[in-house]
Amino acid sequence: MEIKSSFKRRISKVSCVLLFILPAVIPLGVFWIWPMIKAIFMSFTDWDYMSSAYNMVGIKNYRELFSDNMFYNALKNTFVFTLGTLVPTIVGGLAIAMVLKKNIKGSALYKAIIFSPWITPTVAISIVWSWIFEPRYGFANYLLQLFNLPKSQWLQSSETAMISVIIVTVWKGFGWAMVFYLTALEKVPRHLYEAAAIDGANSWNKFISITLPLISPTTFFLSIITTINSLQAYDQIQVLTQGGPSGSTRTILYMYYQTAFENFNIGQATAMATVILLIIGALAGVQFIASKKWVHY
Amino acid sequence: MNKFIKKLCAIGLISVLAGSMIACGSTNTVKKAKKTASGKVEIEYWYGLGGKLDENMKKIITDFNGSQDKYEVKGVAQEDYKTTFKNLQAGIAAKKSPAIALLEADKVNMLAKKDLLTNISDYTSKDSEYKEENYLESFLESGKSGGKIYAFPIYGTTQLLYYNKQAFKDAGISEDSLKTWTGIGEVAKKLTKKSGDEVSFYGWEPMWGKDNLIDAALSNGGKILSDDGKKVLINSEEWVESWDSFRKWIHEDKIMRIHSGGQGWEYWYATVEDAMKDKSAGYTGSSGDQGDLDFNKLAAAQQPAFKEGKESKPIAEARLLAIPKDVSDEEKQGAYEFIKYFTSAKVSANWSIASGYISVNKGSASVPEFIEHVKKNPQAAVPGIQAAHGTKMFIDPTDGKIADALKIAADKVEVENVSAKQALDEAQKIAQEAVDSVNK
Repeated sequence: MEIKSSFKRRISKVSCVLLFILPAVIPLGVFWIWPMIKAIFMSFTDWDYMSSAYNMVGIKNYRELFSDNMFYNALKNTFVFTLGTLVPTIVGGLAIAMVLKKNIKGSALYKAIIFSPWITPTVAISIVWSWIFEPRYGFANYLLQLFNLPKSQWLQSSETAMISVIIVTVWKGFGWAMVFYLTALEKVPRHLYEAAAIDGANSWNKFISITLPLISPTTFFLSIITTINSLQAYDQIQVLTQGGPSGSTRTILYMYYQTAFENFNIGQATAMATVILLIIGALAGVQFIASKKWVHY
Repeated sequence: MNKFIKKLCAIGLISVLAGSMIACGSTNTVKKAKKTASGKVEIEYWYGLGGKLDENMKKIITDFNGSQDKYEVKGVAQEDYKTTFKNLQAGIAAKKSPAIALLEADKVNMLAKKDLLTNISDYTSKDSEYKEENYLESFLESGKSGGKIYAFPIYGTTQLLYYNKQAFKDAGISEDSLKTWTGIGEVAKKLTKKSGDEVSFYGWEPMWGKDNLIDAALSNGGKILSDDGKKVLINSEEWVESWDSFRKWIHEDKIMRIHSGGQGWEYWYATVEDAMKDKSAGYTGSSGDQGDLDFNKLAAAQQPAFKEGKESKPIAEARLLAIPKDVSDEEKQGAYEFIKYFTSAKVSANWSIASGYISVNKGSASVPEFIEHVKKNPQAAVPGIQAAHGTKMFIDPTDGKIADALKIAADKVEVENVSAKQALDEAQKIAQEAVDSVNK
């Protein structure tokens, strides 16, 4: 009798927990988990996204993807773009936060200005940057000429197009990183700096031995989110270069879009999406494992 | 009370879950047409035209709506043809497609192969007024698959030369110099004005992208695919010679210029503007540009052969109206009525007069207004004459991979000064792999 009532209590507890989590689980299941499972399933088919019929093709989509030079080219572009945006965003965000935390005159205004690109739509800022990068009359080349530097082709050359897109992405993102670092820097206890000063530490020693370790959870969070954002970048590439010139800014996500919505090949596109998912997972995993060594909690 | 609330929550949540699952499932309902407030059947029509073309299209839609009281066409202008197609894909997938969409022939071919379009032959066969011989055969063919019409051509287009009459006159150059591309190269050299390294007036401006370069290669005797469809020939001597000449003219001689990038048609309008504002002696553009051009300043000429001894073979392609399969019967009938209206000799002639595009109806040539217009505006006759010896639009058997390889190669040659041999060899390799994969 007692066992039965304990079992009943447990069931009641489980159902109660289920009831509490269901409002979160339903949208998660309908809008995230189920589409993800469906997408992985579709990567083994030749579905065209519009007609209802499709065939199972096994690993054909993956085999074709991994034997396609364009895919490796896009993969290379993706890594260049991700690394090129990750490091400057983190370093730039931290540097600005270090300067602005010192309550200099007008710091609130500077913070607002630096953060504002983050809340401006990517499409809008990309259009403005496309004017700035215009090789003949653009502001970027005007600045270069002021310093007697040679003009650049910016978005018009495959040698400089990627760096131009990276500049726009970093410009948009480092204000966002700055906000996180400002909060993290506020939380570093002052007495640690005082103790270090008594021990004769200079500013650099304090930064390396106190600041960096204590803000490491923020750096870890920002590095994961910035990596994911960079791997998912699409808007700025679409507006600034459409993957060109000569495919030099065609990232794996952009290639996914072209395969899916220009060439109808949803099977191969979802295979590509699965690869993107695995890359994001692997990078997050690597960062997570590495973080055990350098993140202080 | 506690139990009651729990039960209530459980019922509510189960209902939400079941509701969302049902929403995810498919339903088989008979499609019903949307009606306007006045009871007319609404025919949603997506097209990717801008500027004057959009204005002219809207005028025809208004005229059609006023010509009968059963259907009301609602035009929805999109950014360009590509966006129209992309949105149509999403529309078909969501079973919310428009009744008609204006598409390019290769996209029609893709959709027809997947059985996603209405067979328009079912409507033409029941229409006693329809006579196939009234329409230009090559354009009509581009909308056919397996002998059936899956999209109806409403106008044709081809790329022409537009040149500045005064600049040519001042330099003592006649239109005869435009008989070959190598001749245009010489003309451009004479007309270009430079001060130091800065060019203030370009001798010619080809339009950015692969299309002009493909036209030049075809007009040099080149082919995209071998006759059996197995070998990609885009790095043959004819291709390399013609493409490399453009590279040299743009990057070495600096007598031609390319406007590239930007949003939608931005590069196109920048090129047109240069010709209109005396920044270039001429450009290569669509027959559809005629509606936007000032022919007191410019004149039109056919695209020539690449060099002496070759034939002019630029692509002449149709723009077609397709009716997605998944719309109501009433909408299909209304869409057919609009197609019929648009392609009638008189309406097509008016569209051709206003836009410069080629009428698909042979009868348009006999419409008095058109005859009068050509007399006053000789440029209006040029697209039709060129289309008569043009090449039919290439339908990419790899669903866009050959076109993509050519697009990248064109960027390399036009924008990046990479030798045509290198760019086309790379493109050929990619395209050949795609063709081999399809032919497996």
